[in-house]
Amino acid sequence: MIHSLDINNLSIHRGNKIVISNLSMTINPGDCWAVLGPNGSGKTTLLQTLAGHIAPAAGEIKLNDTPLAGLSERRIAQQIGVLFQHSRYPFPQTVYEYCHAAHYPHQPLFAPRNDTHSTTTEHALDVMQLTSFADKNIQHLSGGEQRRAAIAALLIQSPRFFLLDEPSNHLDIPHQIHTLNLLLQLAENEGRAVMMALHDINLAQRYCNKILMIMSDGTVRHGMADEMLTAENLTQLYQHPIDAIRYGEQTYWMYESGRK
Amino acid sequence: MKTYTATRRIFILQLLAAVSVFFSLFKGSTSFTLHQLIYDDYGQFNTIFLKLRLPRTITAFTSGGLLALSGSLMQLLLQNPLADPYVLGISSGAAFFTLLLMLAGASGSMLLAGAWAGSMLTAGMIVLLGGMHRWQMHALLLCGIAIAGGFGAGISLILLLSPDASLHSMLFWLTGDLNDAGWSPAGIIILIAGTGICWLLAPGCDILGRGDQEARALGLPVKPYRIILFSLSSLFAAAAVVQAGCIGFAGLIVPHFARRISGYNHRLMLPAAVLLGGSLVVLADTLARTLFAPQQIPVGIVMAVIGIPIFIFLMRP
Repeated sequence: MIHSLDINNLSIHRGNKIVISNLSMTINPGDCWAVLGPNGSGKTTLLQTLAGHIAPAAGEIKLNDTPLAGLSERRIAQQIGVLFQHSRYPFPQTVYEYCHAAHYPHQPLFAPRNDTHSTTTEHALDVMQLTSFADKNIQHLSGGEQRRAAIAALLIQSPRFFLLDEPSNHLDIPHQIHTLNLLLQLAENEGRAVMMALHDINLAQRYCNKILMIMSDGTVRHGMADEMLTAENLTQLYQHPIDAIRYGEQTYWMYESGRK
Repeated sequence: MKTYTATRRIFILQLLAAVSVFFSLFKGSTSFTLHQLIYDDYGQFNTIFLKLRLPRTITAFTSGGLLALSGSLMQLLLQNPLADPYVLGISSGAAFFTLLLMLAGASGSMLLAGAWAGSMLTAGMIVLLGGMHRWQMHALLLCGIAIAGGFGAGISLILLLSPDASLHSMLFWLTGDLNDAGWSPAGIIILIAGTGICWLLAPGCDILGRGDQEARALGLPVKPYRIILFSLSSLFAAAAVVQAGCIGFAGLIVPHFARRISGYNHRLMLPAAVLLGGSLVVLADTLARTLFAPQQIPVGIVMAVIGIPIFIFLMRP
């Protein structure tokens, strides 16, 4: 079966504001998308609409040729996973318990979780370097550690489509690189599709092959990363001078700092 | 390995429940031993045991278990570990409607239905008000206190209008009383069936506490789930109020300790809360009967003395 998330003539409104109008595109396995845009441009709203949490004003989203609106929460969660920008932890629970619960969409509704499941959980904790935190209360972890636990939970949920809202938030540089490499590998080697809202253009440059830009006037541009990531496009996107510098084989993006 | 230690801890809770029930059965204004009960020539101990102690102990246990379950679900629904049917005024709502029906001469299952309607109504108001205040913890608790105050005024009015003869027993019942506890199967049936249903729904409870968005992203049908848990929680509170009046703090503090004992897996946590809540109210009632024997004090007062310091301790950030 070929998995795909098809977006046809999608329009999203938030209150009176038009966030996105008439977007058509397809998210295919192997793609690693970066969603770029200034604050409040609607990156989060777009991701949540693609996950089925917000109903679009017009247009249709199809998950493997089935309209998203007609699928149960459970069916969607088996295919689409979401990393939220912020998480709340009102109740004390161990990191292991928090992550282990992410098996929910795949386990039979009333059956207990079995041993295979705990192997998956332990593996995901290991991948996110959380094994030594497994028995710690998640409420007492630092922001970055909680972020890694949320990503580990997403790995356990194991969707075909990863929708991530600023995955690098709170993470130190080694963990940013580790996490984005991991996501890229999931796309390249396992045929998953990744779409993430990012603020760091350099991360988008390094890890993403497709770029979607939400301009402040609500128009959307999307395409291959090397065509989209130009000084002209980025300067227009953020309304701020941005320029490329070359260092060896790599391109880096420099922001005008406003200071001499 | 984790589950193994949790299972062992649940076993300790079962022991605690057995010990508390044993104490409750044999201690009171008349204490006796198992030996006396078995070789009972005049049948006096048998009468005390079967007609008074056993029904009262079972009622105490089921009330505690129901309150603990109700509190556990209410905390999940409001994503707030300080929620509880008593603090939020849900018990008062149930009590107000029960008193109204009592005045109208209703009894039995009519009272239970009325109490359920009252608790659903109150819980509905809290959910509405909580949504308006963006689920801020202090706003929720203050709304609950306001609602409880309103129903308290209504209850006072009913008491003022009631004949003197029934006033004393009504007051006793309102503070949480097991004095007139008889054989009533409704509480037992609701507790056993309710625990079973909660056990089935437990995996969803594990993720519901993260909030609607995240629970939905993990595949939980949030709306039907909420409606079911909401109705169950109200029913448990109503059943406890009808048989034992307004016993406070059990629904608040028991889930907290149950999570500590069994962990956050609700397949273990909810049964642990039932056992712990049942044991706690049984022990509190034994104290209520024996502290100033032969004078009895309402179990609700003993629970308040135990519960208030713990509540204040839990309130700290």
